[in-house]
Amino acid sequence: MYVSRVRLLRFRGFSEQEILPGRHAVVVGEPRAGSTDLITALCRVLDPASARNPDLADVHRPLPELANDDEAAITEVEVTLLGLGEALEQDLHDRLELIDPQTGLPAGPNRSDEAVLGIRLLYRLIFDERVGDPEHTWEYPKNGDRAPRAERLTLGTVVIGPGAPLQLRAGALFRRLLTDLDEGTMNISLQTLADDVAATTGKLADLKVVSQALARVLEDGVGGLLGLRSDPDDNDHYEKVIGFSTGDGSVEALLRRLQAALTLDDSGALPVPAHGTTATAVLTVAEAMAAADLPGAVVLADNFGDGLDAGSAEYLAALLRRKSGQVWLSTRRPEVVRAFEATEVLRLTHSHGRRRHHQLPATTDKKERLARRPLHALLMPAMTNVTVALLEGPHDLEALTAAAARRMRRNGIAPPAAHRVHLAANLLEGGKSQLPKLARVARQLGYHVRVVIDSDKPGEDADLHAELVALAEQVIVLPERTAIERALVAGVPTGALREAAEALRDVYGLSIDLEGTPDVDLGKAIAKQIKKPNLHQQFIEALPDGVMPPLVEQLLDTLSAPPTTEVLIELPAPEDPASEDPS
Amino acid sequence: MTYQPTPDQQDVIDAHDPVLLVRGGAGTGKTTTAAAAVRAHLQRHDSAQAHLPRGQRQPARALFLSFSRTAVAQILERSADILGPYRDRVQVTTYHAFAWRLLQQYGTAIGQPDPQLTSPAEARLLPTTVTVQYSDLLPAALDICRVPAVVAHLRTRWSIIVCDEFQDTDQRQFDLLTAIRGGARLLLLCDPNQCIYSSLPGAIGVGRERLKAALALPGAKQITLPEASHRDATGVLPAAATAIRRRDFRHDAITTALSDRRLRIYTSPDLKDEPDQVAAAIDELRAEGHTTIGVFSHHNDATTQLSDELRARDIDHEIIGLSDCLTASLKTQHAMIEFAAGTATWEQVRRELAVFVTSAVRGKHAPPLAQLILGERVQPTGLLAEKLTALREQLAPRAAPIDLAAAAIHAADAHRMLSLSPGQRHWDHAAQLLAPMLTQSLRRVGDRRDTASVLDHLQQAITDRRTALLTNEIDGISAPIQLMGLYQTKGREADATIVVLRQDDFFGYESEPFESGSRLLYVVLTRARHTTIILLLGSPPPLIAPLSALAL
Repeated sequence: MYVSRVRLLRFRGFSEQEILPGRHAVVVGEPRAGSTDLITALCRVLDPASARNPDLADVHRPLPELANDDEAAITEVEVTLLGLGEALEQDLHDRLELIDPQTGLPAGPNRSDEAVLGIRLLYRLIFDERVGDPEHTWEYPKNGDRAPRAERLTLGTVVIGPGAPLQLRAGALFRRLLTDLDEGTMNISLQTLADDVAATTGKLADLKVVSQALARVLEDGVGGLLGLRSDPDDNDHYEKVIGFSTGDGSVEALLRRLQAALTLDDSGALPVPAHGTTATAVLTVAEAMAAADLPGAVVLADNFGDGLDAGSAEYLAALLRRKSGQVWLSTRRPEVVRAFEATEVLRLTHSHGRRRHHQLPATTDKKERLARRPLHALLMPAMTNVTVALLEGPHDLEALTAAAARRMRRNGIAPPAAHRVHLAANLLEGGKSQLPKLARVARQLGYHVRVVIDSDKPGEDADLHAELVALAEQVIVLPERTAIERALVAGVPTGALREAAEALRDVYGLSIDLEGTPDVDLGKAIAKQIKKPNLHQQFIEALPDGVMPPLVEQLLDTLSAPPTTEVLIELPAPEDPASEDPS
Repeated sequence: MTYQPTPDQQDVIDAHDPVLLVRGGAGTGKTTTAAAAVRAHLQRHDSAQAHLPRGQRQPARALFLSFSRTAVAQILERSADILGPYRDRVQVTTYHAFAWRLLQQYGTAIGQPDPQLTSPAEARLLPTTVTVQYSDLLPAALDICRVPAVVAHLRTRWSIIVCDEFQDTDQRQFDLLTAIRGGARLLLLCDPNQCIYSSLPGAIGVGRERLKAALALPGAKQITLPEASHRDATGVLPAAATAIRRRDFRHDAITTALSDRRLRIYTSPDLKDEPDQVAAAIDELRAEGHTTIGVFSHHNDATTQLSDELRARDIDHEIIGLSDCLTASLKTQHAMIEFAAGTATWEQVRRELAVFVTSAVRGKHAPPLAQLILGERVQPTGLLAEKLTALREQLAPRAAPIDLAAAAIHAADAHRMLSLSPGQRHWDHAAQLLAPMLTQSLRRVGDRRDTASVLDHLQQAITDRRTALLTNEIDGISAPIQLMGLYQTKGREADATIVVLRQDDFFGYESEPFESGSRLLYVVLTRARHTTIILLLGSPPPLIAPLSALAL
């Protein structure tokens, strides 16, 4: 089973949104862009346990000003569910609709051959401030019929949430699994458990010492206040009065109290939570997986992977994806995203003025697919940021990162990351000509895109610049004939250059002849030396205190500043300090 | 009732054949046996799945298709202990209700996203407003069955399908059955001697060829149940009916039936005696302790007229087959309530009222009264117009809060107030149905005092009830005395029946041996569990004439 369409209306931070997810959905995005809201919305409509009472936090704010005869604004979450499977289709026979899988809406005559059967389900919350109490309902939007809880339960939606796994209480996933496997034996065993507990606690209550203790409690005529017969000669007569039970005395009360204890090592049987957050998280996910496996159910989890190590998070996400009908994971972890196809990434933003969602469209185009290859390595680490700054290659990334770190450390200047700008290096073969492709993919995912680009030969890249200007909010072009290595040395006083180069030469065994190189050629020579053994970071660290490459600083400042109307920014070459100081 | 199958019936119950044609005369227990066979089939299916984990089990389901749901439902209700816990897994419906449901659910796929079922009376009165008529339902259902996803689903839904009165199944109904069957077993109940719809207008492919087509299906077999009546343990009436069908009027069975007084034939030379004769026969049967009595008359207009005469004699009864009139009554009273609430115009009320008047009178065209109500004609006396104005003033929207319950009472009284003559019984019946629907709608909406929601809910309840009536899903009949046309008697039964046959009844241009006419007589004469009275009025046509000889 999978959700092919979600419509949100006035739900939490969403005023109105229609989402057509891929086959699975990994929900990522900017903070406060709605990933928790989206998973919550799906829980409301699909998980009968999620909304026993209306939650006023679900109502979009601000509440509208209503005149006397205005109808109250309604909060709605509507889903279209497809791929129910034969058994569920038969169970929900009367609720089925013919759905166009491309739109998630009822199929018209032109699309009836491609259409599939599914259901639409609507959660509706009505809150009228003038009346007070909120009301909520579940309906089939096709005809407004109520969707009874029993029918919603048959959907078998699995929610991975807080709380210990392997629970026996009613409604728990583990209990659902047990019932599915052998309901008869389970029922008998639970009854036996109840009987045995009653028998054992009965024995305890029968102990003479128990009634003696009770007699102590009730002495001095206190028993009389409770209407109990007082007989000072017979201390045992309270034994019929006392018994012991859990909660309200039902089996369910007992089961709510029981928790699974596992023997994982020499420490013996311990309750699951005592084995640590990772063990608990692994078991929670594994249990959800087993429960979702049977009916091919929808699995929902918010902040998936928070309690897991990177490897387990990726592996369990991949397993969930394989075993469930559809998985919706919101996550902050790029490793989790790795378990998904590019088209399954659902990125939420609010930096475009209102909440939006972004997806890569399905494609069969080879070039397009190739452009998506570096998605995980390049864009996913940026998923919670607002802006991605695309750099030509790994050297640029290393240099800028090192420079930003040094500024932060030495001068307390916030790096671009603090301005939600993520630096990402192109890993595609083909150098800067690949940047437009990356920019396009980044834009499809809702990133604000900035690009930093060299200017090798004047005028040569005019077409590329124009293409990038159309895609990005900022295209920063380095001065003429300046690659990142030249940017590191440009404008740096020669004394500082020599000092740094000497340090590097000694440690890394560079072949540069510092003494024989005149000042005018020094920058160029050092740039060359930095490039080959990849010493960008080391060079920055080797610069004397108080010295930073001015061009790199300017680049970082530009990247950290809000975008302006000026998209193409050609950075000027820094003044040559040598020419300033002829001595 | 404890059901003890005969050996032949047991063969039907134990059969596994993909297609089983069960032939048997009236009263041989076909439907009851089919219920037992369905249960046996479902039980076998369940035990074959018992070893699977619960999540993997797929419950088998049965579909029971018929022409009138009431007829089958009656029998299933009586044999509830036969189906036992499997009752919920047996869907009982009519071909038309089935088709309507498909259209409602999947109409979008054939360009009918919001189909409205038009009643025959609406079609007669206002031909231009027609959207979906009764006759459009099966073609539409067949179109929907061409949608791959829908038909694939339907084909796995039922593991056994029972068709009642299979001999009267027409080509489209058979096509529908074939389309949705998939791997389901077919249990086809038939009695060729009860094939009475073959000469009805619009019947295509009804007749013996239907049985041949069924037997040509792969794996088809047939079992014939021996003549014996479960309705009448002595078998006297069915045997007499069989003799009459064969036109063997001197057969012992007829003599026995007459001498046992299970069959009584009364004659009267004067057609005008009809109401008195019927009333006398009803009294006679009631005095003998019969509770349910079916009164069958050939002519539809005669049925309506007879109904009025019986009402004048204070004999409480209902007319079967006027579901159209009942639905029109419901709709009109609903329109009046909506008018009182300010959500319908007076023109809408008049329109519904005209449809109601049309529905209460048989015929191809709308009656003049309907045209008067619509204002298309002017009554010289202006009396009706005055009464309509008075009704309008009574109902007219008042300031809030709107009293819907009071409006419902005025609507219930409107028939009397306007002095309309036909359809009184249905009007009153509709008022009885509407009152609890309104109460429920009011209760459901609770304290919100939200008239719009109450009206929405009421609208939905009325639409559901109306379509169920129009597709024969229900007939809303509860009175112990039921009037119906001869062609509507099939599948029904009563303690006793009164068959009214008149000089002016037309049975077609047949001559001896009157094949289809005799089949009709056979159906009509096998509806009583105990006693049948035949009333012959005037000098009867040749089909009937030999019966009057028996009366002497």
